[in-house]
Amino acid sequence: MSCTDIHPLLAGYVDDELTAVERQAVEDHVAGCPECARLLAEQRAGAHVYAAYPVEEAAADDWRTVWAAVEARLPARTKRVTLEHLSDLDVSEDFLEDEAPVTTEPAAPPPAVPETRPPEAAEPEADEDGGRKEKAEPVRLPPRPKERPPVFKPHRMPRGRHGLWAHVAGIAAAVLIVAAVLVSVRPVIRVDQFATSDQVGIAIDIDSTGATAQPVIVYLQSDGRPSIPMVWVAGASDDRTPGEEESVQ
Amino acid sequence: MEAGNASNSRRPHESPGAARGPSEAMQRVADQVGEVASEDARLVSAARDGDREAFARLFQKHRGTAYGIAYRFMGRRDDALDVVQEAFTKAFAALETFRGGASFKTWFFRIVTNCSLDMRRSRAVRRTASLDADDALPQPSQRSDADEPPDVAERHELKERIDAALAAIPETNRTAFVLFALEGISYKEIAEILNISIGTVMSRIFYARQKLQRILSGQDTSGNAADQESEAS
Repeated sequence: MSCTDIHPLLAGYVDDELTAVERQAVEDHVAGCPECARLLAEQRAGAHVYAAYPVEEAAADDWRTVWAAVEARLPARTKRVTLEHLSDLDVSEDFLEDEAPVTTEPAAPPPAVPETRPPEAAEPEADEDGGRKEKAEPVRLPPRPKERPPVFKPHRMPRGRHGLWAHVAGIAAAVLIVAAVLVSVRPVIRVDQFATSDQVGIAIDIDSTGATAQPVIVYLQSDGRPSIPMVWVAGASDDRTPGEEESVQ
Repeated sequence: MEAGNASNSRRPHESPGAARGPSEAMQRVADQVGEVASEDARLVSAARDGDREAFARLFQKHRGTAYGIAYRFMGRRDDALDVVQEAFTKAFAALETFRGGASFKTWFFRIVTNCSLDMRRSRAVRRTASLDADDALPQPSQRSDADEPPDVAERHELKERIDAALAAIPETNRTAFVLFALEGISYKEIAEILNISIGTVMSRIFYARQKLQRILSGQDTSGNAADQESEAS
């Protein structure tokens, strides 16, 4: 193997990133090549120097500030949380507890979001295979809208036993609404409007004076009679004369 | 994708059976990596569904390494924190485009790297533009260390020397070199982050480290100004 082939492997040798075959090739070559042996020593020294590079640690308060800013710009989505979990979601305090004592004071309002760059640079810039190319131009995603319009999801009735009750409740509510409308116009439902025995209808319970009007649900029996005693009261479309009454019980 | 390419294109002289045998230690590390990756996948899935706690856990898990990358590129705590904030914001906003072909860690560190390089360029431009206004201000190299403890002053000096030397290294080589300096990022992962082969990673680290060592030892006196200007452009 030539010196040119060996040179890149010297970095991998120092960093223990070579295969056994490669390591052996480097050792065999360096043993007989003073120049590559010198370069290997240079690589070791360079790795040693950079290992001592001092990094200033970030404080817990720094992380709180950063998280608050990140959290404030999280995508708006439906939160899958329950009321029981809400207290756990104060992560700005909770997940930092290993680094700083958690304060028991009431939660302070979130800090202002520090802007780190001008708005025109805010597009996401990485995608699944959007790695940096050979010449180090950052790979960017196609620009996407900064705020997506809310996705409309049509309401779907729940299924199962609860769904059945939801249907029943819905029908009952509709019946009550219809009844309220009927009360407001004081109509009179005639029994002969029920065409079949399966039907359910609304009748107006009117006392003999006609002073009160309460909607009642009437089930028609198999013989065509209503399930509760009813009294016909002449309506505007009735051909009976006003005041004429007929018991249908 | 790039992971497969990197493995397959490792180096032409590598024999098929040359892979290192799976020792127990390596197997343990592989298991741990697998666990971390699967946990990340679970958290990403939950975050996509709007679970705020999953976002927080991802932040908690990766903020340290992200800060390490950003700090080595930026050289200042505040700048590094800005990069981390920007990278997390972008990553979470683009989470739906993450298809899981690469690990979240690799994908996210690529965003951190790009944010670091972008911010480094933009701030270099800003510094150049405001040079006249800043003439009266003390520059880092002119800072008085008289009131600092000796070890702190020594670390400052070492850091400034390394920063100056790194600034003289071409950006592509410096990026691979800086990424490797972080514990837990292997050549393979760097290859995935930068979308290059492992052989290229090795070559870039070799030349970056060689340049760094020669500048620090005084063998290479190549000016930094030209490189910094080219970065600013």
